[in-house]
Amino acid sequence: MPIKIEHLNYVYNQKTSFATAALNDISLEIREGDFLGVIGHTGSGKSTLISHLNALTRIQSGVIFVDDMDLRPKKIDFKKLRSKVGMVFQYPEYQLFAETVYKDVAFGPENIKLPEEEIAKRVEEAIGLVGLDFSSIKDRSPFELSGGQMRRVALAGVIAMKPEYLVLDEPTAGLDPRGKTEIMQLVKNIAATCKSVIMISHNMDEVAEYCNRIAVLSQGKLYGVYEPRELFRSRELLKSLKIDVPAVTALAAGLNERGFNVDPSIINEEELIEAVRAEYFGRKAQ
Amino acid sequence: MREITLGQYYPVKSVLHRMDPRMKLIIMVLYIVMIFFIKTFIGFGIVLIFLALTIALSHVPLLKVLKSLKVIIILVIFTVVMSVLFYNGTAEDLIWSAGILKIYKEGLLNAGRMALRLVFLVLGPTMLTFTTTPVELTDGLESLLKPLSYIKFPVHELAIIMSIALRLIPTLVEETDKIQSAQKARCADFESGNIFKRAKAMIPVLIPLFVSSFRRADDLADAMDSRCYRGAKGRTRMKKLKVHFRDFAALFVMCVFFFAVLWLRYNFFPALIDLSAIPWII
Repeated sequence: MPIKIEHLNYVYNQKTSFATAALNDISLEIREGDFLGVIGHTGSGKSTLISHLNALTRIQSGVIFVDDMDLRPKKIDFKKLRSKVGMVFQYPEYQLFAETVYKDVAFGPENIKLPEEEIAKRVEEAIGLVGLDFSSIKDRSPFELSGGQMRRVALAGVIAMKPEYLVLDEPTAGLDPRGKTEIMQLVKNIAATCKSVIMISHNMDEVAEYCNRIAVLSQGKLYGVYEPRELFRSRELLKSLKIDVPAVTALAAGLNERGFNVDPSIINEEELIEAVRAEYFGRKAQ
Repeated sequence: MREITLGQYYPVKSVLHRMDPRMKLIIMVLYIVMIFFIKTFIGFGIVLIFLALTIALSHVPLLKVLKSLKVIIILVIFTVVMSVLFYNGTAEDLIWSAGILKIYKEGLLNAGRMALRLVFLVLGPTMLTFTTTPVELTDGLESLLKPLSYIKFPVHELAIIMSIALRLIPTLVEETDKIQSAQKARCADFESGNIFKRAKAMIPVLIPLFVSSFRRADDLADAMDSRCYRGAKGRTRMKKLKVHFRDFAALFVMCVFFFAVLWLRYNFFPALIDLSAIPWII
């Protein structure tokens, strides 16, 4: 079992009068090959949960295993863990600091004391993976790039450590629609090089399209882990949690309600187009 | 990083919280001046009464107030030890000696006075920050410094800079936290190594912090511009500071204490009551 979380609790401001529970008895398993979406409203504990995975937040009570690494002891091999679990924060471009793109991307690999040739190789590979041209961008300052490019460089900075698990906190926040699609395509490509990917998102279209499992958090509790189709079919559940459905699902459901033979649990564009086409030709033939 | 709290405002309701910040500032200045006039333990007793009154009226828990002394405890101990050991008194005052170390009675008393002075100097302003929000403080300061604007001193600008700075401290702390986490996730090590190594390790945090501060400043300037901010000229306030009866009452009480301290020091009415004739006033 790659990542295993059992009975995880977390309380902010422990032992003070401001104590607030952020996580409440969360048990979750992340399997190899998973692209796990984590959804829930602001303050539901998503960020706290994922920051446990690379020990940025330490366990107060509960158990977490990443492969065979136990995250409970006070002293663990942080470098090993953090190169194993790569974490891309919200607006990662705000963490860029070096004079050149190359140096910034090399920051992580240098910290884990890799040999020089290995670093060079990984940096080139990572910059390529995020869809940037290595030779033309490596000596430029990250601060003179466009917003989208900066985000790619920041993403490369994490990938260059070759994480086995990639954790993303709203990777498409603040991007225009095209930028969103581009970044998600990159994430999908990168996912192929990792054991599993965990992604926080508020965008249900993305979650439906890319994730194979979705963990729903609500007020610090894990409401359940669902397959996308299963989740977006259960309208009552979504309503009670105030979660939107993906645009395609909403459209399919609308058509279904108006008497067209379209499956209301459709979650991607191709399926919807196929269903509408079938229905159109079906009606025409009659 | 999270523990940084500047301005330790304690949000309860009390007459002290409601007081005009300008009057509180004036009273605090008088209080500090008063402390430097004190030479005797009786004088410190008078200040203690004043402080006890203030704390009781403020509804701030006593323990919370005393905790603010934590920062100066080392300074106080150091001062006391030094002034006891290096005091040069007369032979009949000597109580204990070993080699070059000599302890005099007057040295002990002197050290005690010094310690009390430090403690009282911290407690007064602490009470001010406990009962006054940073915004009120800058407003009060701006209003008090107003006369300086006649000699072209940029009072309003200074006040607005101060309030922006105070407002942004928590934001920057949060930002630092975030950037630090992001770099930690890339295996940055802030905890080990000597002081130079650690200082160098902060570069990946400081540069993004600077960059985002500049961006934030730009945005703020735009936001102020678009709401037609043009400095002090013609600017009115939503919350006008108003002096009430309680403020004058507080000032009066302060003056009474101040007078008592001065009297103790200068023995104003030797014909009426000769303080120097009372032996226990040391």
